[in-house]
Amino acid sequence: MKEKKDVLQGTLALMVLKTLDVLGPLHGYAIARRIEQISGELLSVNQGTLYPVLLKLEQEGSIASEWGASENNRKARFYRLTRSGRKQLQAESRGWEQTAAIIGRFFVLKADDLE
Amino acid sequence: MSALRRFFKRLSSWARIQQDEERLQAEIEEHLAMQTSENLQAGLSPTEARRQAVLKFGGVEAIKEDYRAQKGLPFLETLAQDTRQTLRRLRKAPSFTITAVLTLALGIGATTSIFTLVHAVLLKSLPVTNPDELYRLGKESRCCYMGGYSQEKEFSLVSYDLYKYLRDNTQGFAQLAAFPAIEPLFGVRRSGSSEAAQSYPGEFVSGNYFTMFGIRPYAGRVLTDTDDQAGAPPVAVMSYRLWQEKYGSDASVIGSVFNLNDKPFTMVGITPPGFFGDALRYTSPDIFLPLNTEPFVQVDADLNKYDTHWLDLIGRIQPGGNPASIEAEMRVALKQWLHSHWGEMSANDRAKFPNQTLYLAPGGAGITGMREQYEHWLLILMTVSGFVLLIVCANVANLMLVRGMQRRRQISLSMALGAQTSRIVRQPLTESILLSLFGGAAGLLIAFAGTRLILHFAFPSPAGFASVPISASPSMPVLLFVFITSLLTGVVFGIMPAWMATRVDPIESLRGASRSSERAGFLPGKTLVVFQAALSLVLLSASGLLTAALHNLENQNLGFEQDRRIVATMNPRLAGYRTKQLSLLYRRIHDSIASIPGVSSVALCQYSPLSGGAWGAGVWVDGHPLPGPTDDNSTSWDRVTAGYFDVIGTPIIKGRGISEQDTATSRNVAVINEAFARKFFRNEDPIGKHFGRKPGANREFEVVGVAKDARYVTYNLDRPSSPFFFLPEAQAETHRAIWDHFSSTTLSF
Repeated sequence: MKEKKDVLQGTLALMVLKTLDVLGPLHGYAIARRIEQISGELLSVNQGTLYPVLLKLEQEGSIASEWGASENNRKARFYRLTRSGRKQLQAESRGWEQTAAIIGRFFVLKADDLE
Repeated sequence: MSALRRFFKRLSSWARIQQDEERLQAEIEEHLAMQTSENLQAGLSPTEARRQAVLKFGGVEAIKEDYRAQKGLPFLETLAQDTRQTLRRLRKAPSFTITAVLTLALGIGATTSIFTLVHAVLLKSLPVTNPDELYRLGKESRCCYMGGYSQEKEFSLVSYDLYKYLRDNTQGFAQLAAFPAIEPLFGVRRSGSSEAAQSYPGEFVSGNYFTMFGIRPYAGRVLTDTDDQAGAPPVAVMSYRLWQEKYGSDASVIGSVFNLNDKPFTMVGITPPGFFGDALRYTSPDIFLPLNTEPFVQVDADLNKYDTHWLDLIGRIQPGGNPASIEAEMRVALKQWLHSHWGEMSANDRAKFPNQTLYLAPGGAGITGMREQYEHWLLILMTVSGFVLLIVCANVANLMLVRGMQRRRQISLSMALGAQTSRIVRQPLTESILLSLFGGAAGLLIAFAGTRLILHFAFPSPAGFASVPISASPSMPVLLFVFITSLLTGVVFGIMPAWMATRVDPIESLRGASRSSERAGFLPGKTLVVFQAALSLVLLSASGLLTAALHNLENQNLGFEQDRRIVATMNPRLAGYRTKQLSLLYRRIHDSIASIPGVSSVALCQYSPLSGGAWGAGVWVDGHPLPGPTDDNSTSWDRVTAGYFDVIGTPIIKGRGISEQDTATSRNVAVINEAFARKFFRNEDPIGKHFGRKPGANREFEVVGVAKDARYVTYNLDRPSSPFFFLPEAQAETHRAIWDHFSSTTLSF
């Protein structure tokens, strides 16, 4: 139970960082919508789980936040990527790509390849 | 690195948690508003739009909880939160809190008092260097003198000669020290001071005694092997306590001359504070003298008697030494020594020679006479106080259960709102542990007072003497014991209410009443009551039996009057009086006390009632057949001055008591007690009969009276009185060597 959540949080954190990297400063709702659009099912149920992740990232110094006005002029908290967050994103993306590549190679593996 | 940064962030954010909660709340509201407006645009009704938004967001409280968990230090935080909440709840129920804390304090306090004693008497080692390396001779401690060349079960007391033989023929000890099993009193007076000599307990010790224990002097020096030689200048060492209390830590004590039993000794050093010698005793020794000064100080010295065994041995084994092989070595040495005295051995000793052996026992706690004496009782007391603590637990658990019933609705509401079971359980547990910690803290005070009270009553020490070296103030192990006991107590009495709390059905709060599940709460309550009643019954009957026994002991007829009577004990020898002077001295003491207004009569005796001792003697009655080897003709005897029986209030049943007419020149008389008459003159009139203390001397004393039985020894109070006879002090001239030991004065008002 707990492990699954950790994995979720880990991937969620990476998605948040990538979203902020591509789209620049965003408020929580916008981040949630964006991730929802891209990931499909992953965030459709509990959008709220995003907020603890945002907090964790902020505590780690990967993102920073401040109050601002939303597109329809509501008060909203905007999150942006910090320099260390960008570095972390680069490092983690490389890690993900490597992992994905390795896992990918395993998935295309056939028995006679190992002859 | 980032984990560390997070920790500090968390620590700081913990401080401004309120502000952050508001921020989260605002963000959530914002999120929901945005989602709602989007839903509205999609064509949903306003209510439905909001509902969908909330559903999509997920459980707000759970997320808040998660958020908080990220934010602060969740464990510490919830602990602090629970504690705060519990304290608030306890403040709101002062009568419950006070009752529970007081009850717990009594239970924990009683247990801690006893544990303080258990720790001091049964568990603690001597305050010396590496007590683990110490081994002592003998599995059981013995007192005080053994004669001859054989000992029952084990050879555990040795003569000075045997000590030297064992010391010189055993390899494994770094040091092997010797000291007498008894702790004599010494008359102590600083030379040149006008003050009268005062008696203090002391000890003769072998020269390596302090080296063996690894004891360094507090001031001056300790005794050495050079001091412990025949002809060495007599020196002594004083305890820190005596130096401080009696001589005000006067530095000039070191190097000055003290008269010990009227013999000059140079005081060369002060032992460190806390050192109380080689054994836990009622009174710790204040003076340490070299063994070889024993003949110099004592009238009837034991040092050079080969067959008087009066020394205990404690040795420090060499690092890595094996006590088993040292023991084997010592057994061989013992046999060799015994064999070298074959010529002096009695037939009895020779017959027992093959069975003679010795044992080494761990000696870190020193000579454990007190441990052996109290072990049994302390364990009983510990069990009893454990029972009391269990009853206390049951009591408080009951109180908690009642409180739990009142809180059922609140708990079911919390559960309905999605509170975690662990949090629900934690609340009553926090409450019980907090209560028991408070109880423990208050219990420490009670334990301190209780221990002092017990020490005062169980180990009284004469004024001016060192008290038993047990401290009532809690030591580290005792504090630890209290803490662990409190925690355990808290868990024990809190676990049931906590468990009960989890059994609350969330639906109950909706029903609005807890009637349906009251029965579920009732069963544990009943069990508790039964448990409590059973424990109380056990305790009550045990304490009832003890009280009855005590009552019987207290009210038994001891054979003498206790009202308006005082016993004073003196030892003129310590002040340097010689045997020849005693008659006059005692006369003077008698007359000067008798002239004090308010004193109605005075008598002197060698042993006063219940003083705990008496001389023993076999008795040969004139005109009776000689007792066979298995016949028991043992009796005890005492020496008293004229009028003694009137003074202590023991009635004379037949004949007369010791009177002024019994002088050194008149015929030798004796007064016997009823037990003596029953044992030796079953069908005869004892008055006018003769008996003696040796075969062939059976006309030594003429019986002139029979006194009522009275208790002289402090043990065997549950058995019939033993045979006793009393001799006039005035006729003591011929037996001076024995009776010059000491004397009691009994006064009556």
